[in-house]
This record gives sequence, structure tokens and C-alpha cells, in this order.
Amino acid sequence: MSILKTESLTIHFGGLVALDGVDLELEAGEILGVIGPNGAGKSTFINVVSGVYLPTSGKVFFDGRDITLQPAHKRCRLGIGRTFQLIHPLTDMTVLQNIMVAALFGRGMNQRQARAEATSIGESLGLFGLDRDVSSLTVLEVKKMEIARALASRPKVLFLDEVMAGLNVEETNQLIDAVKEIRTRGMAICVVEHVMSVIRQLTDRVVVLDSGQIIAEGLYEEVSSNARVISAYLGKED
Amino acid sequence: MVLLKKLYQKKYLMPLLAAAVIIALVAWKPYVLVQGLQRGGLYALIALPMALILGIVGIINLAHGEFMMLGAYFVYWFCIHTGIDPLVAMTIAFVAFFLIGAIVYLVTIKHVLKAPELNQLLLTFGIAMVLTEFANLLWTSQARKLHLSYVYSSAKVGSLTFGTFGFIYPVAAIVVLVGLLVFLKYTRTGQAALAVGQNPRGAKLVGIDVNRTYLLIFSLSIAIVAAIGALFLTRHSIFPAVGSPYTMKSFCLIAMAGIGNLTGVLWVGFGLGIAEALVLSFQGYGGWADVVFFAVLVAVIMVKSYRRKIA
Amino acid sequence: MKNWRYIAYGAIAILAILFPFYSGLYVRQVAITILIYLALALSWDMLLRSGQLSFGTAGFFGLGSYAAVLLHLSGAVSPIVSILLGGLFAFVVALIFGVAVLRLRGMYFAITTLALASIFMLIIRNFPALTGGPEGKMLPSIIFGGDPSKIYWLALGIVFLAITVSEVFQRTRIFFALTSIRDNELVAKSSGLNVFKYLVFAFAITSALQGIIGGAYGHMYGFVSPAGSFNVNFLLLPLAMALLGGIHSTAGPIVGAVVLGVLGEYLKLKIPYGHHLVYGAIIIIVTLFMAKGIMGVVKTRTRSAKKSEVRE
Repeated sequence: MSILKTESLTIHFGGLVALDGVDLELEAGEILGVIGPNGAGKSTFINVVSGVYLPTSGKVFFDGRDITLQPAHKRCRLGIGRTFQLIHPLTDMTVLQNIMVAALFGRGMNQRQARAEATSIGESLGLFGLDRDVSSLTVLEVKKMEIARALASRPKVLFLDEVMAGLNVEETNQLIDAVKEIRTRGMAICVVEHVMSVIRQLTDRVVVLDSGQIIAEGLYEEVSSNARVISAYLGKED
Repeated sequence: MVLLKKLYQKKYLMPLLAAAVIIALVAWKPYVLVQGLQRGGLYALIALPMALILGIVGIINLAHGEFMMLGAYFVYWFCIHTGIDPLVAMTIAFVAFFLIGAIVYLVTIKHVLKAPELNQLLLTFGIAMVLTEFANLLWTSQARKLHLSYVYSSAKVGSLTFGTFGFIYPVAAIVVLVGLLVFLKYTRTGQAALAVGQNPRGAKLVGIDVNRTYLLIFSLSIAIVAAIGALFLTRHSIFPAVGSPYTMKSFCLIAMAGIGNLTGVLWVGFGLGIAEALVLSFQGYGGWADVVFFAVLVAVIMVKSYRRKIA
Repeated sequence: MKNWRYIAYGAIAILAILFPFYSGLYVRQVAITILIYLALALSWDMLLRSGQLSFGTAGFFGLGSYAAVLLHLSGAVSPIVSILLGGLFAFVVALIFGVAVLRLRGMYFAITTLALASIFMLIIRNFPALTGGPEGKMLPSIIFGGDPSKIYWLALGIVFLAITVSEVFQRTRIFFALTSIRDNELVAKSSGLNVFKYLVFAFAITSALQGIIGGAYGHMYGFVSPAGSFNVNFLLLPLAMALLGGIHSTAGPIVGAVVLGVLGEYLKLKIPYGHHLVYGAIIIIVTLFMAKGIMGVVKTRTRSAKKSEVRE
């Protein structure tokens, strides 16, 4: 049984149809790539599944349960974790405290446990100097912190929303290794990306969104040579 | 059949309801209709400039009522010293407070536009306090009133006698509304302001001077509300705290009508004015008149908040 | 390093407790007033830490005042118990109000709280049989028989209570909840935090505190009235104090209250009317220039001092 399943997921924003009947399944332990041109609905998809928006119609199933109407914080506790595309560090707290928030409330730990958990997760991602102010972090470190925070709630499904944006090759490779390591912990990962090399290296399977609909699905090689996908990108290839 | 179907459409529901209420009032308590329109007109009149700032500059001016109060005092002293009629002095107040509004904007408001909403609220709250205390300091809390003969004019319709001067408020409200709508839709500056209100960044990209627009709109709003103070002065006594309830009531109107809906402010104003007058018309319940506004405010907030439960 | 801080706090606390023994009547009166406003300032700041601005301090203060005085007058409870019940009453009202309104944040919430004092005053005025209407109600006797030292200790006790709650808000998971809500609600709730629950909780607790302060005040002065108990001063001064001293901390409002309290006394002598203008001006100035207040400036200075130490 898939750990995450959406059925005809649709959301309208006023007159704009951002998602149109999306049927998607995610298996435990797999890394799914979600690609598509700008405005295809990739981030919206994450937002609807994680509970930021309620869909206009359709359903979301997590671990067999219908969570379509559950609020975001409950979904986090059930096991959905996500990063944010526009980086939102919690500026009035240190790096460690940022990560601790998810451990405290997503996992219900007490402060001592949360501190230990946050420290170990941060260090496993190569993040050090955790008592620092968030403002002193480099771009790569901020991304690691985002991922650490998402991990701290011990998710069963992790959504990575364009985490590789703005990184150089060296940094991208670091994160790719980190994600591969995360997969060994048994969770399902959904990677939304624009950087194709990342998709090629990381994912088991790829889904292509365009204008809110899935237009292709399969291995990266199949999908990237699909004529419809290519025309959707209008020549925008990696 | 088609007619009945039309009735169920929302567009026709509200005007039909309003017509029904008006007819009922004319038959049962016509004085309520008169008083309601007059009071409601005043509320709408005061609310319009606040709606202007909120819609275009995007901030709530918690000192709105205080500027009206200052305008009223300005005209009061002007009239006492020169003998000129307040309705004439209104224009001078308009010009003077346009300048004052510009100064206030440049010195204070401009700097918090990019800051979090809280800072903006605190700032205008501080300004409201300063203005109230300033008035207290200069003129004490003693109430002042002008005695003008023409405010007592009255008319008789059937068996009903009522004051006619009070209709200056709804009339002024309509004039201001039409004036603002014409300004916003048919002048270049107004159209630019509308664009800024809807999308400041987009407007900037198109070359509109956003800052100058904010300055203009803010100063205009202050000028209008100060001129309204002159109108207010003709029928009410003034004291430093007189303006503050109107800030709240203006916000109620805007919250109900929706930000950016200037015409709606007028309708809601009349509606609430009539509701208030209705409550006042029942002996012994007079003290509850203000409840109308607060009840509406809380109801609007609750409806909005439960609609927003999505995000 | 940390130890001397606690010794300092302890010393200040002891000095504060012994205050009536070495101060004159006038100074003690000023101190009581400062303590009342200090507690209000702290309670206001506590909610502000969640990012929500409440203009309702005067409202719940007055509500607690009335509840405490009326309950005591009914003969059922002692003054101290009535004060606590005043807080409980404020808690319940804030809970109801918070549940109704807190799904909307920011501007709508703030303005609605601004209306609270007026709403409460309106209701009180309209039930004169129960509440004494516009004239209010007088107590036959002031709490503790008017003993100024005991009244001072009551005020001090309430300040200790406020400080305790504030520190709880700073040191427990509540800190993480409120700070993350303030910084970015979306991230907070996506990390498993029930934002609504925490906001309602923070609002209800801080309002209860304001109710307790109001209850104490009502008993200290022996009377309540719509104009007096809901006076805008109970909103203006605490805000100015918290802003000046430094928001989002326990020390900030304390510093602000002491500084402004002393300054206020001085101003009152020089400018009998309208010296409240200064408080409004302070709110404006701090909002424009000094968003972190006095404590913020101190922290920045010590931080750069530490940085230059490390370099050397």
C-alpha cells in the first residue's frame, strides 16, 4: 500500500486552476521527482498535501487514512514533513532552536530530548555551530537547516521544495549525498526540482506536471525524452 | 417564473431587502429612517477617507478620528476669531490639513510602510494619543460648540417633523464618494493610485511613482477628514476625545463593505445608521445603540475568520 | 558569569521587598503606581511575543476590577479571593473572545481588541443596578484597611507573579511556540504546532493577568467606574513602557516601567495637563527608530563588545 496517495486532487484559486485532477502515489522508501515548467503547480501540490491549502475537490490519503480535511499541524504529526521554497528561517531563534521547533511540536518531545535530537540531526547533515544566529548562515547552511527542521518531526514522507535552487555544483552534490543518506532511514521522499541533474541522480521515478495536470510519468530517461514534456518546457532543458 | 428566479440571485437580494426595510420603516417609524440616514451618512462620510488610505496605502490610520477632531477645532477657532461660517472655513481647513497630512506622512508613516503591520498600528496609535493629548493640553477637555441658526431648520412631511440640516451628512457622503470615484477612475493620478493599491510592485515597474502616490493619498485623506470636522462641528459639540469612537466605527464599515469597496461603505453606513436609530427609538434601550456597531464588528470578524480557516 | 546575575536579581528583589521600610509615603505611592503599570506592560508584551498586538489591556484590567469589586461587595468572598476570581473572569471572557476572533490575525485582531474596553464599558453602563452605572461602585473599605505597606506588597506580589509567568513564557516550550508563530506562522504550523491553540492560550492567560492586576487596583483604591477603570492610560502607559524598555523580554518592560514611571512623576509636576503626550511621543519614536528599545540597544552593545573581545 502506498504511503501517500492523491485522488483527483484539484484546487482553484479564484478563476485559476492550479491543480487539475492529480492522481499520484508515493511508496515508502522511494524517491519521487516532480518536475514541470514554472507555474505548473509543483509547490501548490506540496502545499495542498501538507495542509497549507484545502483542495477544492479530490482526496489525500496518508498511510491509508483520509487526511484531506486535516489541518497542517496534524498532518505534520502524522508524518508529513516539508521544506519551504522561499527560505523562511525563524529569525528570532538560533539554528538549533529552529530545528527544535519541529521536534518539540511535531514529535511531542520535551526540551531536553528535542535539543539532543535537533543536534544529532543537524550534525548528521553537516551543520555545525548550532547556537549561531540564523542571520550568519550561508545559503547552503540555511538549506541544511530547513531539511533538518523537516526531519526533526520524524516524517514518513518528506517533501523537498526546490532545495537545490541557488547552489553551486559542489554544494548541490553535498545535498544530493545528504538526501541519499536520508532515504536509507526508510522514508519516502518527494523531490520537487528545476535542476535536472539532481533529478537524474536522485530519483527512482519522475512525474511531470504542467498547468496542474500530470502529463508524464516514469523513469527519468523516458520522461526527459518525451515529446510532450519537452514541448511543455519549450526547450528548457538542463 | 423568470422574475422569481431573479429574486433568488444575490445581486437582487440586497436591494430588495433594503427596499422592504425602508418601506416598513416609512409605515411604522419614519423618524427612524430620517435619523438613520442622517447618522448613517455621517458615519459613511467619515469612513470614506479611511477606506481610501486602507485600500491604496494599505495601512489603518488609528489616528483618523483625531484628525477629524483637530479639523473641527481648527475651524472652531477660525470661526470664533474671524466670524466666517464654518462651511466656508472648511476649504481653508482642507488646504491646511493637506499640508499637515503631508508632513505627518513624510516624518512618520513613510518609514513604517515596509515594516511589519504591528509597527504601523503602534505608530498610528501613538499619533492618535499624541493628537488627543495635544488637544487636551491646548484646549482642555471642556466641550465647545458653535451656535448656528441654520442647523435648526426643519421640515414637515405629513405628520412628521424633522430637522433637515442633518441631511447634509448623507449628501456630503454621496458627494465625496462620487468625487473619489471620479478621481480614481477618470484622472491619471487617480488611476495610478488605484494601480498602486492593487499591486504596488507592478505599478512601480510601470513607472508610477509609488511614494508620491502614497503621499498624495494620505494627505488627501487627512484633508478630507479635517474638512469633515468642519461639517461635524456645525451640529455637534467637540472635545478632544470626540473623534476616537469614529475611528472604530469607520473600521466597522470598511470591514463589512470590504477593503477597496468605497460604494459599499456608503450602503453599510446607511444600514448601520438605520439600525442604530432603530435601537435608539425604543425607550430605555438608548444606551445600547453603540452595541450595533460592536456586534457587527464581531460578527464580521467571526464570519471572515471562519471563512479563512483554510490557510 | 551567570551566577552574579542571579545574585543581582536576588538583591533587587530583597531591596524591593524591604522598600516600605526605608521609603517615604509619597515615594511608596509612586512605586505602587509603577508596579501596577509594570505588571500591565509585562502582560502586554507576553502576547506580543506571539506576534499579535492587543489593545485590550485597559479592557481586561477594568473587567477584572469590576469583577473583583462586585464579587466582594456581594459579600461572598474576601478581597484576595475576589482578585483571583477577577482574573478568572477575565480569562473566560478572553477565551471566548479569542476563539471567536483569533483565526484572523494582525490588523483585525488588534482593532477588535481596541474596541473591547468600549464594549465592556457599554455593557457595564447599561446594567446600573448591578454595576452602579456611570457612577460606578465604591467599596466601604480599602483592602488591608488602607495599610500602605501591605498594599505595596500586594502590588509587588502581583509583579512577581507577572515576572514568573513571563519567565515561564520565555523558558518553556511556550517560548518556541510563540516565537515561531511570530516569525513565520506557516513554518510553525507545518512543524506540527497548533497555532490557534497557542494564540488563544496566550491571549487568555495574559488577559487573566490583566484582570488580576485590575482586581488588585480596584481594591487598592476602593472604587470602580466605567471612565476610571477602563481609562486609556491603562493602555497607553504599559505600551509605551514595554516599547521603550524593549519588547519580547522580561527585563525590557521592567526597565521601561521604571524609567517612564519616574519620568512620568517628574513630568506630572511640570506639566499637569497633557503630559501623557510624552507617552504617545515615545511610542512613535520607538516604533520609528528604536524598535528594540533600551534593552535592545544594551544587547547589541554587549554583543559587539563580546565580539571584539573574542577577536582579541
